[in-house]
Amino acid sequence: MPKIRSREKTKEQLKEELRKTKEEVAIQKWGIEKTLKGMKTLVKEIIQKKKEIEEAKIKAETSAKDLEKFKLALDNTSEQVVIADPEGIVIYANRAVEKITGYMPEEAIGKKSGALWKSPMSLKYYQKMWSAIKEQKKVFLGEILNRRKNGDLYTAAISITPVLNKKGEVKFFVSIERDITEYKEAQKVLMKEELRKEEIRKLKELDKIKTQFLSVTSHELRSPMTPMKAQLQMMMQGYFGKINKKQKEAINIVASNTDRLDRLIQDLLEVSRIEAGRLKFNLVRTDLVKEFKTVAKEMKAFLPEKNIKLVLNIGKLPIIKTDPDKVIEVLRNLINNAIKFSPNGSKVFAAAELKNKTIQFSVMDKGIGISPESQKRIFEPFFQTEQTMSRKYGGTGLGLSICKGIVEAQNGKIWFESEKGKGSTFYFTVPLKPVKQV
Amino acid sequence: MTKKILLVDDRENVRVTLRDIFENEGYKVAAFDTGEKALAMIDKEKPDLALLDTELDTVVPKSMNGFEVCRQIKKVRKLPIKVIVYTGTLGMIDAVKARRMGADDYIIKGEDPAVLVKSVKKLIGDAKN
Repeated sequence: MPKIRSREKTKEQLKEELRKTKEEVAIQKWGIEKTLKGMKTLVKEIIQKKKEIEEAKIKAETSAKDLEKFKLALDNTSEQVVIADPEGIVIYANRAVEKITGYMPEEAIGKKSGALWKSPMSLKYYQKMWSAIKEQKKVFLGEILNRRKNGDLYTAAISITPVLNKKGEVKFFVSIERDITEYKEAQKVLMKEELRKEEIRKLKELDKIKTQFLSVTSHELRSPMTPMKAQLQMMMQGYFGKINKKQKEAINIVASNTDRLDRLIQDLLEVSRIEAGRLKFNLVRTDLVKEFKTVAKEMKAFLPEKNIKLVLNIGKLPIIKTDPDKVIEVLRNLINNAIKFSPNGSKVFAAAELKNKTIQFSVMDKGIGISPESQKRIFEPFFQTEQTMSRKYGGTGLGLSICKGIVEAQNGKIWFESEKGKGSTFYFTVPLKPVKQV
Repeated sequence: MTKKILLVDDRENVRVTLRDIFENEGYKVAAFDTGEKALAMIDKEKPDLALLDTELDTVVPKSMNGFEVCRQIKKVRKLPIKVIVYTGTLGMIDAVKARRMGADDYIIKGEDPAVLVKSVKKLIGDAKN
């Protein structure tokens, strides 16, 4: 039965094919499983790797950004920052270097630290500094004088810090410098001002002491004058017996000098009152035209040998409330001076007029005038133009200073115009309304 | 008896790394750079397991590859040795071929050698027992 045999054979074959197919399927399945497993591992690893790479990238970017920020901050700090290696060679310099020294940071980098700015500080100072930072490895703090690129000197507050590694060796030096020139200047100015204030305070103190001294001594000097003058008068009038011609001459000299001494003391008293602000004004309704004329008449008798003509020009003046004695004192002083300094036989012009709500007086002479250097000081107490003048003309040297004191105490003004060799004109004003005394 | 692994890989750094790893696990390791050398010594070494890289001809050209070494062990000599075929080269991935040659396991090796250790332990157990 070939057919059946062949069919059976086919069955056998089929069985074998089936077994082979099953085996093949198993192999394929195994292969797929193993491949899949391997692939999964690979993909996982690839993903992991990618993640790591991304993380590393972010980290690198972050640290780069941090570094950039750090550099930006350091670059733009207002204080000068210089980093040098252990040999002192500059490896970093920020922008403030240019602002402070005038050198570009690039000019400083690669050079020995401090080589650019030629400091006038001593070698010893630098030795001390290097010893501190390099050998003792300590922070150095100090003030140094350096030179800018343009040659200007500047003062800097400096701190140099040695930065050490774990072994304690110097890795680099960080120097921070601040330009304190302006601060120093300001300090100097401030100190000068303080000194000046102190000086003024001392001067004021001295002035006060002087005024007190003046006041006390002039009072003390004044008291013996009255009995002295009285006794002299009595002596001259023969109360103590007849006196001969020679005695009379002597007494006259003593009397005239006593008068002079008395005037001086009175002037001193007046000055002390002015300086202490204690000048007293007896304010009464006054006809200044009348008062002026009286003074002029009286003054005509002064130094008759000089033959001076006093020319008056008095305008219409209102009756005002003032202290006539004080006005007369000023006028007398000025006319007195004018006559004293006029050449023999010349004229002195005295005038008064209403002007700008004041009465303005003027006294003009054709005398020697006042030199420019004297003009500044003419109202100072005890000032006299030339030393010889006081001897020639007498006077205390207090007259103008008293005039100024009196006029200004009543809010008036006193001034002059003068040309050396051509004469002087003195002016003063009396306000229509007096200053009431406190 | 300490179990022994016959390692065949043509790259020295892989041999060094894998030897370290398996010795650390307590196994003895006999490493060869070609299949020919390994097969020549296999009777003497009597390993419990063979760890075969697929590609073995980068050092000595025209050397037999890992599949062939596997076939020699399993199909020709019919030695009672477990065989793991591994590859790190994508172009050589062929698990089916490895299975046909009689491999007990086939591993696509990434960077982590732990998969190899796991497979070895699964096939022959720990180094000592």
